[in-house]
Amino acid sequence: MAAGKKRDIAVLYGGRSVEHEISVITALQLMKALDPVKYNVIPVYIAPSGRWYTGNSLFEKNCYRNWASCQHTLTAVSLQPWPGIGGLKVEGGSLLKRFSTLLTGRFDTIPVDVFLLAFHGEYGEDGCIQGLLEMAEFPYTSCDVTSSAIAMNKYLCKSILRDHGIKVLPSKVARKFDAIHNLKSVTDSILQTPGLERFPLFIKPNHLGSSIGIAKAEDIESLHAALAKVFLYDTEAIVEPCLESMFEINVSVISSDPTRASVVEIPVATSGALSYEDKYMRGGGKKKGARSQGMASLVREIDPAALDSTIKEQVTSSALKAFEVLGCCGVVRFDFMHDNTDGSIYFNELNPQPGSLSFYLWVKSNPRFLYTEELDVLIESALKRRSQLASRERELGFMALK
Amino acid sequence: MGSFSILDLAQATLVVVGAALFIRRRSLRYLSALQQDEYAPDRFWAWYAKRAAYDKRGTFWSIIIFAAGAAAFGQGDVLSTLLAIAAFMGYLVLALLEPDPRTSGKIKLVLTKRAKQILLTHFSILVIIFVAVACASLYIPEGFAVYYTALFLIFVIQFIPVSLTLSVKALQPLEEYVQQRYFKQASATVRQSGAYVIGITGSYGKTSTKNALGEILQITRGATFWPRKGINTLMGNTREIRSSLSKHHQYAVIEMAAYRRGSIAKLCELAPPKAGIITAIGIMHLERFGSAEEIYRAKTELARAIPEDGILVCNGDDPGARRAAEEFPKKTTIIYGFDSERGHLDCRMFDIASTIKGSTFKIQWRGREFSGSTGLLGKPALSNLMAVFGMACALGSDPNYVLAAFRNLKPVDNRLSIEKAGEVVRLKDAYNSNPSGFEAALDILRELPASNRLLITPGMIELGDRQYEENSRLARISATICDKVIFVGSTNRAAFESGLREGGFDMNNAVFVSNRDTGLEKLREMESPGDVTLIENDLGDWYEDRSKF
Amino acid sequence: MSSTRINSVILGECGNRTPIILLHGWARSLSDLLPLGELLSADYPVHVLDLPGFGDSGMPQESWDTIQYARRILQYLDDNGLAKVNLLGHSFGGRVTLRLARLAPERIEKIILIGSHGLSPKRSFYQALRIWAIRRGAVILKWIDAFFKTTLFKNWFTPRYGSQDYLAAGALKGTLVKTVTEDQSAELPKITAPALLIWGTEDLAAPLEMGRRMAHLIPRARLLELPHQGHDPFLDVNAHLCAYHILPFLAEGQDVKEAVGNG
Repeated sequence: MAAGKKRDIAVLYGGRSVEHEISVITALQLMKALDPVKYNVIPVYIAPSGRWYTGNSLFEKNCYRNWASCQHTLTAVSLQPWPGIGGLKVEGGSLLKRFSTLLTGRFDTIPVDVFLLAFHGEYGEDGCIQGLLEMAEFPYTSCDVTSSAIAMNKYLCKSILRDHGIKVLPSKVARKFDAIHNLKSVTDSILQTPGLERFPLFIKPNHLGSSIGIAKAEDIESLHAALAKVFLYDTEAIVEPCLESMFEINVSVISSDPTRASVVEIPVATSGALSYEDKYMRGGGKKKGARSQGMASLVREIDPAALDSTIKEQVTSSALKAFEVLGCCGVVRFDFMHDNTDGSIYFNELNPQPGSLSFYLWVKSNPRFLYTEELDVLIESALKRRSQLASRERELGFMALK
Repeated sequence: MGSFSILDLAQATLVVVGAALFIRRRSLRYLSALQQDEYAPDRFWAWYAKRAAYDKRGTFWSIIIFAAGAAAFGQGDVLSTLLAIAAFMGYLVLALLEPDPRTSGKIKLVLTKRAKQILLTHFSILVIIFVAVACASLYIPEGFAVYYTALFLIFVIQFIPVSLTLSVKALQPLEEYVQQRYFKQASATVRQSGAYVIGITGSYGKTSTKNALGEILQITRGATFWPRKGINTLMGNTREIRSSLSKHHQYAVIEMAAYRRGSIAKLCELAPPKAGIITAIGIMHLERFGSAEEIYRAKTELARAIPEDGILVCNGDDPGARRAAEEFPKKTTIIYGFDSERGHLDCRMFDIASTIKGSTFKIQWRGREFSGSTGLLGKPALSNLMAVFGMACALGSDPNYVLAAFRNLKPVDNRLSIEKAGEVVRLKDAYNSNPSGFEAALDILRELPASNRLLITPGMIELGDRQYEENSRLARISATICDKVIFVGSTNRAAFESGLREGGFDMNNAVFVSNRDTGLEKLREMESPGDVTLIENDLGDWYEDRSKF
Repeated sequence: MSSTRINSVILGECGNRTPIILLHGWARSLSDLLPLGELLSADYPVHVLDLPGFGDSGMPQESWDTIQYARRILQYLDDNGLAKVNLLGHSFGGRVTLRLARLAPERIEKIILIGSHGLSPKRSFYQALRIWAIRRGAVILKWIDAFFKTTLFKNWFTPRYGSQDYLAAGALKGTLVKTVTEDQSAELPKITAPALLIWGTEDLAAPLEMGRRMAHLIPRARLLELPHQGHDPFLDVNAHLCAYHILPFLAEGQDVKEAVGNG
């Protein structure tokens, strides 16, 4: 029964980040899970060039690998940064269309009700696209500008949460252009930071999420090499001590009514911590053939029965608190580390747009969310947030300018 | 006016329509080959001759129709109508059997603006021919008979590649105008960006040196532009510069290939270099240049273009490169190499050890000694690394920082890369195509600890009249290193076999197979734990393209 | 027939809810439908079966048709004390589901068909032409082979144009031949159970038009069309989407005859 119109959901993904590929995998997966009865799914892909495209070919995996030929079958679109357009602007088009736009000033639009974001990395996860969507006053499903920006800066995120009673490891930020200027003084100041005096140390890009460029340093030379590796991808590196004996423990939180936390998971890696290769290129347990399942196929233990329930509670309550403090929305994933030597639990990272939107955690939670249900929740909460924001007074008129 | 009936005309049209479907598909295939050869008619025709890509299927069918039509001529309308229908069906089947190069094949056809223009011109030529012949047929008795039409179609089908190349030639002035405009835009972009341009030239190692230098400068100096992949022509670099070079780039690393005299000079006009690297001046492609001296002149166009106060980095192990350093002195000239016997070295690498994780080495530079390691293997790769080291340090990078970045470098898969497959180690060098690379790979094979050393290769190709000699030589070297050899194919078999014998190889341990798949199967049988296998120059493409015309 | 063993996986608690039986498609096995089964098992007991001749189930002694398959499944219900079940069938399993719905309507509460076969497909002119050409080509080639002692048919023709299912069928060739052309259109209007049909719009094996005809023929049917999905719209994440629609369908008391989705 067609009770009410279908909502136009634009799935926005891709982007000019090193984690572009992961974004495509997450998006292709979630587009299969969206309910076609309630929603009209519109894929909007931001190509590596930065341009936006839409079209039916985007549903096929091959389109992205044979981009040159696929591109010609798609429609270029853009988002104007002001409200009232009701959707995406269609760029270019046939000669006739362009001429008519020239004459009338009106252009073709693709109507959109809600933007469903599936980005990973810079521009999509760090507040940039969120800013554009705010200016155009569209509802969107991810964290807002502030929480996205904080989440993507590991150092700042940890500092804020530490202030609110959540344990974090000591850390120091090293800057790329300081290192170019004087590598030795940068490494000296790292090693003089309290908590970082001894090897091994863990070095990561300060701004990315997906474990590209992470490295462990056992000595000065490997510290230099680790910094060099990070500075290829980021302008800041964050250095932390290496916990010799630890395991990672993650939990997802979603802005349903009330805010809920999922079951925890313990990702299993071949080495100390997960690298990009571990997360996205290893075969998982239950996939068939060579289907890319992204985070969902990583070898992991979800809701392990043997895990001490106090650990689960601590992780869950820290995550819920952090979610509230940072003002997150949508679905996020908090990554913690459990230090086996003294049982401390440290906050490690916040992923404002987690891989596969952590559906594999929600399907095992109680009460469970099927992926389709999870997406329903995200869309509803995006709409609710937008109407809350619409309750702000905007115009004061001119008072000072006389 | 000849005598013809409407029925004849209808039959002829039916046959032509069927053939047109086939011609359209076939045209796309030839266009795809043309596009892969960068629309260079001479390269296209070389491919055409080598692959014997002249049409067989369409012509064969046309001959059948012609013969049947001639026999059935005058035997009644029913017969000729049936024949016309059969001809149409036959062409339709052939059209359906033609692979669509837009969606199949290793390198797909992309209908760019230029490709579409060429197609349009090509089809226009064919349509004009059809119309002309149709008008002429009005005056020929039996002009529209089926057999006559089939005969005409044989010519048209064989004419397709000619028409395509004519279209390319006809559109050449337009293309040149467009390229000229692009060139102006690109060189303006380079000027406005203010980027410091570094050119890289040499008979081999250009791409890997460019990629490594680009990455190292990006880390240790600042924003660096470099075209990915092996783009080294004027057109390719123009395109990349127009699309990706911005005002924010501090450095630009451009790979420059000497296809003929003046190609590098033109690239230096596009992006005037302030520094350059010469990796080697070999004597390959003698046919293109005429003499070794001509080759030298062409490849040193970069050295010529660099200003006096610039930086020139040359491979001291290569006599040609060393000569260039002496003939074109700059304010900062750096000569790198392994062998100090050949002359002075500013940057010298020594104490090289290869392991399954990569190489460790020491570098002597400006009076100091540094230790380093990297994931890359083999002297050619390490030589390129010295070039990068020299250039980066000359530009002001901290040598320790440069070496730190080297540690993260890994070989591209199948360019002397190492892979552990269970208990067996595979040294993959399938993309290598030159003898010194092969030798370097054999060196690594010798150095790695192994219970048995295996080699699988089809030998080296495209070496002109030196092919027999080089393959034989490499076989002799392999004989002293390898315990078992699997040789693929027949092209170089004689040379390799004789080389193995001369090298004293136990021929019981040599296996000769006809194709790659059989070879890989044999390899799986012959490998045992602890073995190291070198997979050399195993160009899959060589064997895979079996498409028929 | 009763001796042919059926391998099954039983999921979920045996509560008082009507169990769901999942039947996979041709040349597949229960592992296809396990992920979907696991999702459904949170609310219902689920039996995922290997059809006789596939997976770990036994091979029928003779070539069965779908009625015999249905009878065997009925016997499985009897053997396991299942008075009333919901049936879910994919592709070939769908044929069996339809048969069983007619064979023992009092045992079936509701049925779910995913990309199910059961009717003769309506082919476009081009497709029919191609099939005609392939059949004629096969005859001609066999004649050539016999005359010239070549093996063109086996080595060149069959890998390209032969039915992959037939080639791989092995001992089940007889069953395949018996079932592949069957058309149950006369039986469908007599099915009393409410039916949910889930179809990928890009399904090539069981075209969407077949799903639409089925939904039209079965009296209490509802069709859910999944855009951009093919013949297996229950794999990976799609299992979530299917479960999302199947669970409310099973739970609802009413029945409505309509098409939803892009119908």
